[in-house]
Amino acid sequence: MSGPRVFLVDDHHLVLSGVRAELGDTVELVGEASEVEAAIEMIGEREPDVVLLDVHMPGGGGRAVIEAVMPNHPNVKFLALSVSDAAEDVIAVIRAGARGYVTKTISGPELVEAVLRVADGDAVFSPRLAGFVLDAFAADYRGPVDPELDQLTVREKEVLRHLARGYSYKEIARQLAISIKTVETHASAVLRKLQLTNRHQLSRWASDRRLV
Amino acid sequence: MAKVADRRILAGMAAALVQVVLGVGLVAAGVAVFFIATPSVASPSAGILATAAIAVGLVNVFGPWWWRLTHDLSAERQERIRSQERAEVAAHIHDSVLQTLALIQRNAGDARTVSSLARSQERELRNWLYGTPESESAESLATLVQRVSDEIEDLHGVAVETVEVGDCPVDERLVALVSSSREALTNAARHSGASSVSVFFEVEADQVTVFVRDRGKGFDLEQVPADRRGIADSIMWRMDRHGGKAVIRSTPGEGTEVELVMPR
Repeated sequence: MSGPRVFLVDDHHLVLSGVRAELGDTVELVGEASEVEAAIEMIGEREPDVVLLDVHMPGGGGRAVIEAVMPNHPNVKFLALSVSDAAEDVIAVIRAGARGYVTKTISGPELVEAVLRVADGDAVFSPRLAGFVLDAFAADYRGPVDPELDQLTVREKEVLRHLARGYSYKEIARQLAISIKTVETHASAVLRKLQLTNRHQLSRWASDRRLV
Repeated sequence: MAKVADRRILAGMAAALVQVVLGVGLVAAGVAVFFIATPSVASPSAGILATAAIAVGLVNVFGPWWWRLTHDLSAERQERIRSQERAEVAAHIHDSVLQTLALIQRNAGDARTVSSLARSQERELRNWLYGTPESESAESLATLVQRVSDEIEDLHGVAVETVEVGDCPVDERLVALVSSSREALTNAARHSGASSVSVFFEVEADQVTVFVRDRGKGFDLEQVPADRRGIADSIMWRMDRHGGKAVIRSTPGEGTEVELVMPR
């Protein structure tokens, strides 16, 4: 078993080698790039299952890569990896289409789990992203509200709160007495809302705050 | 010596007796004037005099007792305030100075760590003694929590992952909440063995909630030794005193989570 085919994009070589070591044999590494242009080209050629990419890079960052690749290769999934970025950058890569966001301080096994989860089509939230979503959706919103997209359900908030507290999907399932599949469904629904909501203040909100 | 004290007590008793006799006499005289002279509207002076005599007499009899009673009450209240202040100071010293001293002992071989610990503790203590009280500085909760997280990272060398949802100005209760969070963080950093601790706080319309969580070794809540004052006293007592509540969940081998809720 070789696991999902993974491509790495990061302009820090130390990070690249660190991630490579952490992923180890659990995935099949099909390539890596440290520049936006090269990444777009190589990802198009090799069509990996998951692209693990840095949020902040010269030349448009992870967002530029996602926007260039996604229209032509809809099966490629993206997981954003970052050290300490402005909330607006993170929200931008998510809204561009990334399936999740994790910080570079994530442990090896957790990173592997996140990659496998994204490969399966599920969403991945770092505690910070979960907190960010809670905060953004709690802000006052004036304007037409589409409950399907502009509001979180009670259960979704509960799942997000647990994610923000640092719980894994498995632990959340146990705590809330629901199946892991249900937790994944809630997380995916939240991600979809985050990507599609018309909450105009979302981007302004994000620029006011930093995801440290 | 004993004789002197005895004499003084006797003198005091005699004075009290004279006072009571005098008071009763005045009251009796006043009442007698009413019966004998039956003061009329035309000559009210005797009546006024009698009333005054009764009043002075009553003050003589009951005054000392009443004075002692109110004096005791206010002394008791002062004592209570003083003991609360003492508990507050003890909690603060426990959170800061005692923790630092413990760290200094453990790092006794490392001169640089020791001096940096001492320096930061000195700064903290100076601020606490002479600086503006935390509750009065116009500061946001998020800033305060972040600063506490930074401090714990510096002090204990563990990573503190802080997630903040919402923000609000800090008042006295929230300072208590932050102090309790600090204590929970310190406990996690010192005793859990985990390399990182997560802090999540959320400001809602009616309350502020903080979760401090580690994936360390955990402990059996039933068997916390009495000398581990931190959890039992500092967190629970402080939250309770300010109208909040603290819940501690721990499973040996899995970690600990402290939940703190303070109404707004």
